[in-house]
This record gives sequence, structure tokens and C-alpha cells, in this order.
Amino acid sequence: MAKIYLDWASTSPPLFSMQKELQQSAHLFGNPSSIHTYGSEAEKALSDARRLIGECTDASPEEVIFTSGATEANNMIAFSFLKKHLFSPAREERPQIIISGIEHASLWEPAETLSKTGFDVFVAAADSSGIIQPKAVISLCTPRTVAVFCMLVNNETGAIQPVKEIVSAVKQWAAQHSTTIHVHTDAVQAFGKLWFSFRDLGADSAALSAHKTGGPKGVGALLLKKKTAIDFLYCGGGQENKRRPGTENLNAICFFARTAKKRITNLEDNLRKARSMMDMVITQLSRIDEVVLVPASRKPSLQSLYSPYILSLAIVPVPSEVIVRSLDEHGIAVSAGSACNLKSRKKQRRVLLAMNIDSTTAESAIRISIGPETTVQELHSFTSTLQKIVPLHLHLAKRIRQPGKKSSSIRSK
Amino acid sequence: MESMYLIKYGEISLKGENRKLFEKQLRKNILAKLKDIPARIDHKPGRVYLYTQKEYTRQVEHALSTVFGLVGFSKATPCQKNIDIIQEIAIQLAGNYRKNNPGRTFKIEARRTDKSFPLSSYEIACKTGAGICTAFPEFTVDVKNPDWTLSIEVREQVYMYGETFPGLRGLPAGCNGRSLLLLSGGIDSPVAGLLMAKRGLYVDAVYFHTPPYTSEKAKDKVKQLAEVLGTYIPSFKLYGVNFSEIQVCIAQHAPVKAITLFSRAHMMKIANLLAERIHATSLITGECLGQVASQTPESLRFTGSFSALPVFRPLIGMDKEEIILKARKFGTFDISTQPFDDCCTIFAPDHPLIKPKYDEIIDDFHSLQTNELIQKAVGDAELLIRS
Repeated sequence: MAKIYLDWASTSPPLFSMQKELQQSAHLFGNPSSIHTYGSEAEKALSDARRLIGECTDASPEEVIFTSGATEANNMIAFSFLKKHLFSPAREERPQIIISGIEHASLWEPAETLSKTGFDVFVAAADSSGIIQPKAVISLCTPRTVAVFCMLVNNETGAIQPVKEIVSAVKQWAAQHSTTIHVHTDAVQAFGKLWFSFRDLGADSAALSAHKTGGPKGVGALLLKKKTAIDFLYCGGGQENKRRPGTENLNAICFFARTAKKRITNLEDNLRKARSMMDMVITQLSRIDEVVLVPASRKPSLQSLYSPYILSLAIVPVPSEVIVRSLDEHGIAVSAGSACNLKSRKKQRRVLLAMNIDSTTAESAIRISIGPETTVQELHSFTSTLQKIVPLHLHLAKRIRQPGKKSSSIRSK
Repeated sequence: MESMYLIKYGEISLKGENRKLFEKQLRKNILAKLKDIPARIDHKPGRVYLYTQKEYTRQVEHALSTVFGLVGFSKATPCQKNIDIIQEIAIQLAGNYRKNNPGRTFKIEARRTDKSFPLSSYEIACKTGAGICTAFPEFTVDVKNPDWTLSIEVREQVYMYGETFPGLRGLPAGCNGRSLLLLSGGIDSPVAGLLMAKRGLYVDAVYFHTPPYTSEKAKDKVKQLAEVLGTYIPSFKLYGVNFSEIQVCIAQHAPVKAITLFSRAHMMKIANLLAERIHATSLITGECLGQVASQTPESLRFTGSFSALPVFRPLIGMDKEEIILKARKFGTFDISTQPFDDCCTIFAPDHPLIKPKYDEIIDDFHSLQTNELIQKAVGDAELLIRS
């Protein structure tokens, strides 16, 4: 049985072709903070990596803070406001944060925590295409607003968010009201896949992850605009300019930088290929009556609206897990929403529900996500396998479950 | 150094002719738990003693507290039949108790089966008690409601023991033969299995899984439950039956409202056949009256009719809180509440039959013609866990 991996948005296979480059830095074990030769060699490798990540995002090297991944980067930003506003004796009124309703749990849950610890957290709703419009954010701004969180590419729908427009609208609003608002973007699903310039974007910070683009797990970065007055929770070491103390995960960072560089170099080629493959999949899927694309407005060639690396679809009312496990039996790996969230079903569908997608469709939604190494044949196999397995499941589900209806209270286990 | 435990069993001692069989089973079950460490059991009239080496006391105490059939056990100190030595040891034991416990009232329970010992039970108690009070003046005697009871038994030698650890009570598993438990990943069925093991059954279990509708994680969860059951039940085994084909057949052809009921009925049929294979003479389920649609009297009458073997339902009259309390005590609750379902919502009709009429649905049931699928499912049953 062929093994087909279509879950690149949760993690990607490491770029094995780069093992040789990885080995080049494998002998470096010195602590970059040490002043002896071991240390300075390590320090040099670290600053090379920093420069590369800067190049990959059009950020200056000193704007790159290495972290254990995007989850840490998102948490660092969210909880820095705790320190800045709540621990501050000058605080007068409840600070307020605006978060998009479609954020990943690594930003959403810290925001929930903030809302329980003295912040007002307002949620900017997505439109039915899964996109956060700048006006949805601006309408929530108040003089108490200290931060706006909005991701660059949504991990479930692939919807590209107009972050640049949001930043400029927010900054303009802030200037008019003589205040400052920090805009943070989770750029995980864009990084290495869709080009973005940190400088052009104008955001104050952005989170990146290494392992979604062929790099190692356990490493990522926070991009932080120069001269941003921010105080992170952790202290106790001078690393990363005191902002992320702790000895750097040097070998992983080196591999991260090199794989990122490779992805950025080939970004346009990969993107062209992904667009043509995803358009093909969307066209094929639209021919299967039972398949609903999520959101329904997803069509081929909507290049400026959706990342061609991510697609959500649903076979209503078949529960997504059934389709995922059925495909898995045929060697095809796809996902039912964000893998980080699968354990808590209640929260699992938050993003789709925030886009006003009905709960039956949301419960049936599966996500396929592709990468540069995905082939046309693999996607053909996916669509044909899906066509093969859908009728039985659909027949059963339609026969037994009445879509949209809640189950009665007395129900068999 | 050798350590010695006095084992007390309650209900077995009420047995008449068969008492020896029960005792033998209990001994077998205890030793099965201690097969990797040096331990021996000595049966004296009216008493069972277990001997082990001092370094194994933790394992032994764990084993004795997870074996069905004993009321309690105590660490015993044997000594010579000499009142001075008895007194000395009594003071030592009182000192140990005093170090670890706040209570300061005590009582001595002396018993003398060896009537050649010159002091009567009462005299032994008085002398020893006086010794303790002299050594620890803050100790006072309270025969009605003591914090601490020291037992002294004068037999072929003297045995002294203070604290009694509680046992699980019941009958030794196995003395009532073997039974097959229908185990799901829920809270109820593991408790049901353990309660029946407590009534002297060797329990094995069968789990029905429905891939791809149920996940590998749901199966892992049941395996974890099986591991816990295995700590209480000697030679516990878990069998897995792939239920997918039957489930799909039912879901396609049965009246929608009867799907759950028919699935349960099939599980009964399969469990009967599997029971035959493993020489089990009864079934156990976690059913509890009225808990869900398939557990009403009418539903139980229907599903029960597919079992030739008696079906034990020890939870039938309990409420959920009582069951949860027991699940916590047995240590299965935290596993059962992991969020991996053992049944897919796709097979759960919105309005299942609550009061099925047997005569009205039995023809629908037979028209499914699943006998071949049932035989296949039983034939392919796999052994998932052997403890």
C-alpha cells in the first residue's frame, strides 16, 4: 500500500536532501555565550543562522529571536502584556486585546487566560470566506486596546489574511487616538510557502516554526521589530538579547535556517506547482456531489485569497474522524482540523464555527495540506480513494443521523 | 530477615464442606501475585500466615490488598511463649505506633488456644497493658473505642500484631469458575467486571472494536483498563473482536431506531460463542437500569434473550455516583474518562427504541442473517492482553 502524506500543515517530513548540511554543524557543541574558541565557533554559526532567517523574512538579523517553536513565540507575545499592563503599578483601567476568531490554539488559549486575568479580549469575526476584514478589527479598537493578534494564513482553511491592511488600519487608528497598538501575526502557515516581507507587513512581531517546512521540531522564531518596548516573562540569561533566555538549540537552529533558506529559494517554483495541483484537486472534488468545500466559496484560482497548500472539505454528515481513519486504512494521511486540538473536541471546531459554518459541516470537515514534495499522482490517489470510500459512510450517516439535529438525551453509548 | 503476615478471611470461614476449596483458591491467587518473589503460605487451623523476606514487604502488602477474598491482613511479630518477652515486644510495637499516629488510647486483645500457657487471656492482657502504660504514661486503656488494638495470640508460639490493613473482601477469584465480561471503554463495565471477580469469578473480557469508525486510541484505552483489571484478577485475558462488518450490516439494513439494540444483541451472541471457547459459564455486563436506551427493562429483555448463559449485571441497581466512586477506588475512572469513544456517533440514531416490543422486532433481527458474519468475528477474535 502506497503511503501518501497530505498533512503538511501539521508537520512536514524533514528535508532529507539536506542531511549533509545538517552534519556540517553537527560537531558544534560549544555554548554560543562562551568566550573560548568552542563558544565563538558556535556563536558564529548562530549568527549565520540568524542572518539567514532574516533574509528569509526580510527582517534584520537582530529582529530574529530563536524560540522552541511558534507556540512559544505566540505565548511570549501574549504573556508579555501580562507583565507590561497587569504587573505595572501605573495601570488604571482594563487593557484590551483584539484577537481574530480563527487563531491557532497557541494564541487563542493564552488570550483566554489573559481574559481571566484582567484583560478584555474582543474577538474579530471572520467573514464567510474565512477572512478577517480590517474593518472587523478597527470596529473593536478602543483607547484601551494594547494589541491585535491576527494570523497570516489560516491553518484550517488556508485563507490568507490581509495582515498588511490590518496593520496599516490599526496603526492609523492608533495614531489618530495618540496611542500605540502592538500587532502580532502568527505566520506559521505562510513561512516558506507564501512570500512575505516582515518589513512590508509592518507587524510588530511574527511567529515562525521550523518543522512545517522541512526543518526540525522544537525550534522556531519570533520576529520582533527593532525598538519595540516589550518585556518578556522569562529572565535569567543573556541569550537572544535577554528576550529568550536559555542556551540556544544550536544544531536545530542551524538546520532550521538552512531548510528555510532552501524553501525560500524555491518558493516561487513550489508555489506555482502547488497552485496547479490544488486547482486540480479542487476541480476534481467539485465533481463529487457529496463533497462540500470549506468555506463554500473556495474555488480554483483564488490565488490572492487562499494558500494553495491547504484545503478543507466536508462530506456532510459523516464525522470527520471516520473519513480520516478510513483514508488512513488506505495509507493516506489527512487531518481532522488542527492536530494540536484533536484531544479536546469541544474546542476543535472553534475556527470553522467562527466563520459561521454550520456545526454539522464543521464536524465533518477534514483538511488536506500539501508540500513541495507532494505529487500529482498522490493527489489523484487521494481523490479516487475518497470517491471510493465516501458512498458507504455517507449512506450510513444519512440513514442514521439527521443532520443538524441534536441527539436525544437518552442515547446508547 | 523474615517478615510474617497474618491473613484474615471473612466469608470463606462461613463455608462448610467446600471451605478447603476456597482456601486453596485464595492461596493460589495470592501466590500467583507473588510468583517473582520468595513467599510461602502456611495454613494453621483457623489462621493463614504468609512468610516473606523483609525487603519484599511492599510487594507483599500491595498483593494482599489487591486480592479478593480477604478481609484484612496484619504484619505479625512471632515470639516465644514468655510473658516478659511478650511485654517487651508489646512496648516496641506501641512505640512504633506512637511514632506514626496521634492516637493514645489502646486495647489489648489476647487469645490463648494453648491452654498450657500459665496465664489466662485476661492476665496476659493486663500484664502487657500495664507494661505499655508504664513505658508510655500518656497511653490509656480504652476497651470500647481504642485508637489502637494490639492482638496477642498464644498458639504453638505467640503472634502479636497491631495494625490491620483492609483487604478487598469477597471470595477468591476463580472459586466460582470463569466468566466473560463485555468490556467497553466506559466507566461502568470495568467496575462490573471487578465486582463479579469479587464474587469469586475468574473474569476474562471481550472488547468490540469498529475500525475505522472507532479509533486505535479507543482500543488502547481498553487495553489500559485491562491492565488495571489484571492487577486484581489472576490470569486475566482481554479478547478483541472486530465488529465492523456486523455493525455496517446492521446500520444498513436494520430499522434505524433498532440499530443500537441490534448491535448489543449481536455482542451478546458473540460473547456467548466466545465464552464457550474459553470455558466461561456466565457473562458480565456493566448495564445499569435506565441509564441509556438499551438498558431499559424492555431492551434488556431483548438483548438478554440472545444469551444462553446467565448474564450478571452487578451495577443494575446502582446510581452513577456509586459506580464512579467504585471506579475511582479500583483506579479505572481516570482511564475510562479519556475522551476516546468506543462507539462512533455515526451509528447512534437520534431516537433509539426505548421500549422495544420483542415480538415486533425479532423478525427484523433475524432477517439480517448475520450468522456467518458472527462466526467469522468469533473465529478472528484476537488475544489482546494476557496478564
